[in-house]
Amino acid sequence: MRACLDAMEARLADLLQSGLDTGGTDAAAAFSRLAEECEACGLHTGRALMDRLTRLLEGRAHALEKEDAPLLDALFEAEGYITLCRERWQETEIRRSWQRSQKKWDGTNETEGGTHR
Amino acid sequence: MELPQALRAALSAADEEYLTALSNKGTVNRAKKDLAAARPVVQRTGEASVTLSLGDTVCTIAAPLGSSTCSCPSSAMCRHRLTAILWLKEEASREAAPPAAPSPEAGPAEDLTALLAAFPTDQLVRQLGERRVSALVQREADGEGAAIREGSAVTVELPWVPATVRFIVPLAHSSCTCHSRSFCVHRAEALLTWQLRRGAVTPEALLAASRAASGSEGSRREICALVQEALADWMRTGLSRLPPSARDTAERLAGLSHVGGLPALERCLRRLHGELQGYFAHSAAFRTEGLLRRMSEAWRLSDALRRAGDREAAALAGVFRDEYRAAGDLQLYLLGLRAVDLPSGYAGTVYYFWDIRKHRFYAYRDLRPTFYEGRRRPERAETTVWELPGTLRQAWNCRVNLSGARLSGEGNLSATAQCRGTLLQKCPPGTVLPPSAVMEDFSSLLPRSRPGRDELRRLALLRPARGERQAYNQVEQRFTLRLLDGMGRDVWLTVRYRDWERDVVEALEKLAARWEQAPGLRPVFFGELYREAGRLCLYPIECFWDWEGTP
Repeated sequence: MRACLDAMEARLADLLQSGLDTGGTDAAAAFSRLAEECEACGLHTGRALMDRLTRLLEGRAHALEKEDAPLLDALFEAEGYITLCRERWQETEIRRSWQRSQKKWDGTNETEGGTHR
Repeated sequence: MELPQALRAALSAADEEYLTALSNKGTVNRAKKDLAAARPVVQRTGEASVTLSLGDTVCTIAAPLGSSTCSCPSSAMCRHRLTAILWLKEEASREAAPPAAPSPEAGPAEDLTALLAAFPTDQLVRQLGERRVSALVQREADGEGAAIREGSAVTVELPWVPATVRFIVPLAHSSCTCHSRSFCVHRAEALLTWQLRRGAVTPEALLAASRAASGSEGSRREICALVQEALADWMRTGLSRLPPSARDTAERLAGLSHVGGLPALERCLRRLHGELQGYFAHSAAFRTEGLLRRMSEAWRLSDALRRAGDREAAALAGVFRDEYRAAGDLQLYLLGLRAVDLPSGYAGTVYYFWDIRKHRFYAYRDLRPTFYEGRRRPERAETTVWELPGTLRQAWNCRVNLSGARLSGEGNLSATAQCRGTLLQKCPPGTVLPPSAVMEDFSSLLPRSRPGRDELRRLALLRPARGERQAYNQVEQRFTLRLLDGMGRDVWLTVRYRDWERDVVEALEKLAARWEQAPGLRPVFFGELYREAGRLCLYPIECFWDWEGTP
């Protein structure tokens, strides 16, 4: 999941670097691939956001009159979503790491001739 | 070929200067080259436009020429549209042109002059602010103002930026070398300079108007629309082509938010300004992802503020940090202090107090804005407040009683003159703070470290069972000490080496060495919790070797 979040954020950052006018078409294809990755990781909202971005970017490429507000809404919503997912992932990782340490700690105490309790 | 009359007139009036103003010289030259190989096919001739295909792209050329469209991704005037315009211009000139009806699109320079003179000066003054207007008037008085050339386009060069603005009819299609699509500050400066030179406004009237405008408030929705317009503009242009004036735009918008009573948005924009400063200063710490996060925050907040009703908007707008309420008498203990240099544009010292009765942390922040100064002042005066007999730094680990104290909602103490302080004796923190304030079980720290919580709510006192010093990270210039509780749960004490953190890193290195020699020691760490890379981390503010003993 972390790799998928990193990839999404990196792609959004690339788009900011190049700008919608220059990097929009390439980004649409990349977001389409990321939508599938999101689904594989269980990030259903992520998939919906990536699909929305793909649709809007493809539409923009062929539109004579560029209307960017919905695209920017989707883009910044995706960034907000990544931040939230990352927060949740961080919390899960910390808990997991503590559980591992605790198991190790319990194991060490048991092998040293019974627990301290 | 039969061309609509308005389009024919616009094409005949569009000389190279006009086309350059519509896009830029490079694109015009490229279009001229493309024209030699181009085989445009006219698909349709409408009442006011001509649609033609050029290879894979389809262009619709209309009057005024700036409103022409193209199926390529570019939202600016692209080479396809210019090629099509040049081709149509050639076609039109081949035929005997009927007498062109006067139209605003194809008008002579007088129309442009009239448009520039009629542009509301008040609007320009509001956009620029008092500081820029004063500087502009001063430059004109010193004879160091902009260079102006007039023809089918009015070209204004601003050497102090540097930027070149080209005005054409209609003004919305004018261009600036900063690549901004919106009416940027350079356009405003250029137009105001032109109005001054032409005598459309006098320097005295301009200065008076700027002073009056500096006190007026823009409406919430106007400010939010301006923020979103700027962000959309940057996103379209891309960071690699973003002009350095984007920093000024962020600062100006933060100022507007301040005047407009939107403190949360102001803070958002100050942080964004800090990120942009990092980018343009080529800071090694700059990350595009960080800037994107700041832009996202600003966009979502301004969008929510724009859509909200008055009551909801008041909650979203937040409160200014200097809005303090009476807190009566407080019994405090100065636990620690730290120097800060915030990306939001403030620097100084933060003093952390413990409320002995309410068992919570407060802070007194002696911060000054750095965003109006070219660089920080090397030496700063020590903080003296509440009529205490000495500096606040000298009150470290002392009890301080305040009468008539004022507190902000976030827990920041005011330096109000109505508040009087009494300095009591220095004493060990362990004799003032209850044992329950010191965490020996780290599991309770996780909820406190949640991102987005106020800094004061992320403060913690930790007494680890042991510590493991990590190798100094030479690449990231980072000192790390792993603190473990009795059950093996860890918190990572991390400090990145910076100029103002040198003393902190040196003190921590000594501490770690001493702890290795005497592992039985039980130091207490006071710091700010945060999460990073799947770890719970602590930024240290103070470390107490002997919590219950002499500080």
